[in-house]
Amino acid sequence: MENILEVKELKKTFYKNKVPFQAVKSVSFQMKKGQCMGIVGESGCGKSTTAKIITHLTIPDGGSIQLNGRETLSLRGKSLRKLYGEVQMVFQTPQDSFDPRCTLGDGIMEGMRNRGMRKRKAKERMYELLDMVELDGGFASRYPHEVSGGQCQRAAIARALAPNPQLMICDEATSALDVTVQAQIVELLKKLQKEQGLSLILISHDLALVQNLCDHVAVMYKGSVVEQGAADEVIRNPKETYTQMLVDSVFGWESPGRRQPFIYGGVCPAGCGTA
Amino acid sequence: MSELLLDIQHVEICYNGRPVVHDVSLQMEPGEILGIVGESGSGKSTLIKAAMGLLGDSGAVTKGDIYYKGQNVVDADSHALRNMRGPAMGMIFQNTESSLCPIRKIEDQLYESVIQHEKVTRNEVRERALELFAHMRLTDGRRILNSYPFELSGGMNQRVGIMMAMILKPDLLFADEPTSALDVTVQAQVVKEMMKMRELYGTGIVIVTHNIGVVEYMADKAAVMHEGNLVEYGRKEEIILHPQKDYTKRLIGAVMRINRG
Amino acid sequence: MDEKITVRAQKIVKNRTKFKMIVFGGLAVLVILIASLAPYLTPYDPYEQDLSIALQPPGGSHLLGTDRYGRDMLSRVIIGSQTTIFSALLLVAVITCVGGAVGIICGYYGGKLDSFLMRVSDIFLAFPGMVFAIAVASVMNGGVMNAAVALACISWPKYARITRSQVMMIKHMPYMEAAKLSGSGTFKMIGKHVVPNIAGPVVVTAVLDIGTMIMEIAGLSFLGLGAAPPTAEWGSMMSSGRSMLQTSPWVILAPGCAIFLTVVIFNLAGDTVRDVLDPRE
Repeated sequence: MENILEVKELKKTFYKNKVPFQAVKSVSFQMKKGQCMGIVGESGCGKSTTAKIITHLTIPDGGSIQLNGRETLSLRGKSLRKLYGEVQMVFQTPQDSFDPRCTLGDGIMEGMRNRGMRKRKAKERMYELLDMVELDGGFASRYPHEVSGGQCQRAAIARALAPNPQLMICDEATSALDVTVQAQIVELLKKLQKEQGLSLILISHDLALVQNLCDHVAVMYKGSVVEQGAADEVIRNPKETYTQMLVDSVFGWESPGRRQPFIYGGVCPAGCGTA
Repeated sequence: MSELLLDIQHVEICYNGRPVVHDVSLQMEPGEILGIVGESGSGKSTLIKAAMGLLGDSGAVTKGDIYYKGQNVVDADSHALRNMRGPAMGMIFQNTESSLCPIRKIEDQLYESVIQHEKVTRNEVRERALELFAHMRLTDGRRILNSYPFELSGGMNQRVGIMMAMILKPDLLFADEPTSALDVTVQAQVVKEMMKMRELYGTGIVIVTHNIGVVEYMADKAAVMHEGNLVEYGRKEEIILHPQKDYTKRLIGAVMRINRG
Repeated sequence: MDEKITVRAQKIVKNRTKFKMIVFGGLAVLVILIASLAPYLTPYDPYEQDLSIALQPPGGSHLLGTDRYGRDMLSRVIIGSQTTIFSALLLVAVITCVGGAVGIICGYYGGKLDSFLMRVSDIFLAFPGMVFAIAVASVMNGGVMNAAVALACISWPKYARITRSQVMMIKHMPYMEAAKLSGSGTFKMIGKHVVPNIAGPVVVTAVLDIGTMIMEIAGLSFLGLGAAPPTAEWGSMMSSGRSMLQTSPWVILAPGCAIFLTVVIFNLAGDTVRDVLDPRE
C-alpha cells in the first residue's frame, strides 16, 4: 500500500510583536492510504499548525509535504485549488466554521460552485451529501446559529466530503461537542471512512478517542514529534516519558491495570515544565 | 445523626419564567465529594449557581429549598449570603483568570478577600497561602503571589483559584467545570490537588463536570442530570459501573475509554 | 413574578424598536421623496423674482413669506432640499465606498500595504476638519461639488479605520479558512464573506453621518464656499438672510428649521438602524 501523505521536517515560526515562537520545530511522518492517523498533544504543541500546513492554509518555513507522491508546498493558483479538492478539513467549533450570513446549504455548495458545477447539479449533490451525514434535507436552508453543534458538525463533514477528497483532517472536530454527540460523530466518521475509503487525520488531545479510532498515532510536544507508531501499541506501551505522562493523566475506569494519575507538581523529568 | 452539609430538596429553578431544573433532590454528608455530570443544557451549572446564591436577576428557585448545614440558602438575604461565601462555601470556576482583577497582584486580591471575613495581617495571609501551595507541591509560591493573573498559565491560575477558595478553610467547596479548560496533564494534577484538600481539611466538594472519568476518580457520590431532571443519583460505583436508567447507560456508553497496557 | 416582568419588558423593547424603525425610517424616506420630487412640489417658481412682493412675512399665499428678491420661501426651501440632501447622500456614499475599500485592503492583506495606507489616512486625519475643507473649497473656487470633495477628503479615514478593524476581527475566523479550502478566490472571499459580516457598524455610521454631512455642506455654503447664488441651498439661504434676522427673521429661520428637522430625522433614523443591527439578537 502506497503512502498517501509524506511529511518531512516541517518547520514554522510565528512572530508576535517581533518575538519569535517556534510552533513547529521538526515534524515528520508518513501515512498509508485508507489509514486513520492520530496526532495527539496538549495545547501549544503545534498539532493544529501542522494540520494547517498540510491543508496549505499556513505556509511553513521549511520542510516538504508529498501527497500521493506530488510535492504540494510549491503549488499556487489553479493547481493549488486542485489540491483543495484532495485535502479537506473539519474544524473544532462547527458554528464558527460556517459564515453566519449564509445557509448551511450555501456553505456546502460553495466549493462545488467554485469548481464550476452548475447550480442545479450542485444542489443535487448537496442533498446527497446531507443524506450521507444523516441530516434531513431541510437543514440546507437553516443558518448555523439555528442548529445544534452536532448537526452543524455533520454539515461541516458534508461540506468537506463535497469534492471527494482523499484526505480529511479533523482538527479537534469532536472536542466542543457533548459526549453522546461526540460518539455519534465518531460513528459517522468510521462509517464514512469505510464507505468512501477516506484517509483520516484526527488531531486531538483525547487519547482514548485516538486509541479507539486510529491505526497510527504521532505524539507531539512543543513542536516536535516525540513518539509515533501503532496507536494501540504507543498507548499501551509508551516508550517516551512524555507519552507515559499523557497516558497516565487520562481518567478512565474498568480498564485492566488501571493506574493512578501521576503528579509531577511542577517540573516533569524531561524538563517539560507543563505546570 | 450528623447534620447534612448540603441538602437540596425538590428544587425547581426558572430562568425568565421558564423552568430549567425540575424537582431535584440531593444530600451531602460532611467531607463527601459529589460529582454532578450532564451534557449542555442539563441544568447542572444552574443547580450549582442556585446553591451558591448566584442565579442573578433572571433566575429564581421557584419550588423547594436548599439548606447548607440547616441554614436556608434560597431565602437568605444578601448579607447572610456574603457571610456564608468564603468561610463556609468556597467556589472555583472554569476560568479563574477571568474572575480575578487583571491589574492587581494575586497577593493583594487574596488579602482583600480574606480580611472581609477574618482579622489577619498580610504576613499571616501570605503564610497560609504558601502553606496551601506547598500542599499542592508548588515550590515557587512567592513568585505566584507576586504575579498578575495574566502572567500565569491556565493551570497555575486554577491552582490560585483553589488556594483562594481554601484559604478560609470552608466546609464546602463548589467547583463548576474547574478543569475543562486545562490540558490533560494539568487537569490530572489539579484534580489530585482538590482531593488533597478534602484529605487535609475534611472539605466537602461538589464538582460539576462533563468529564465522567474525573467523577469516577474523585467522587463518592454521582448525580446524572439531563434536560433539567435528575436522572440517577447514588454511589458512584453504582451509577458508573451499573447504570440503571437508559440515559445514564447511553451517557456512560458514549464515553471513550483508554486501554492501558 | 420577576421573570414574567423581564420577559414582557423584552417584548416591549422589541416592539418599540420596530415602531421606531417604521416612524423614523418612514420620515427619512419621506424627506428623500420630497427632495426627489421637489421641482413638482414647489407652489411657485423658486427662481422667479418679483421685487414688488419682497420680504413679505409668512401668511396668505406665501406660507413661509418671501425673500429680498420676492422669491417664495417655501418653494426655495423645497427646491433647496435637493441640493442639500442629495449632495450629502452622495458624499456619504462615496466616503463609505472609498474608506471601506481602503479599510478592507488594509485589514485583509496587512503588512507593508496596511502600514502605508494607514499612514496616508493618518495624514488626512491630522488636518483640522473644517479648516481643511474651507482651504480646499476656496482653492477650488466654491460650488457644492467642490465643497463635497473637500469634505470627502477629510471624512474617508474614519470609514477606513472602522472597516479595517472589523476585517481584522473576522479574518482568522474558521469560516474564512473553510471558504479558502472551498477554493474561493480573494474577490469572492471579500465579496461574499467579508463585506456582509462587517456591514453592520459601517451602515450605522454611514446613516448617522448623513445628518452630519448635511450640516457641514450647509456650513460651507453659509461661508460662501458651497452653493453659489442663485442656486437654492439651505446654507447659502441662511447666509443671505443673516443681515435681516431682526427685520425679516423668516428668511433665515425657514432654511434653518429645514436643516434642523432634516438632521434630527436622519439622526433618529440612524439610531434605530443601530438598535436593529445590534447583536442583541
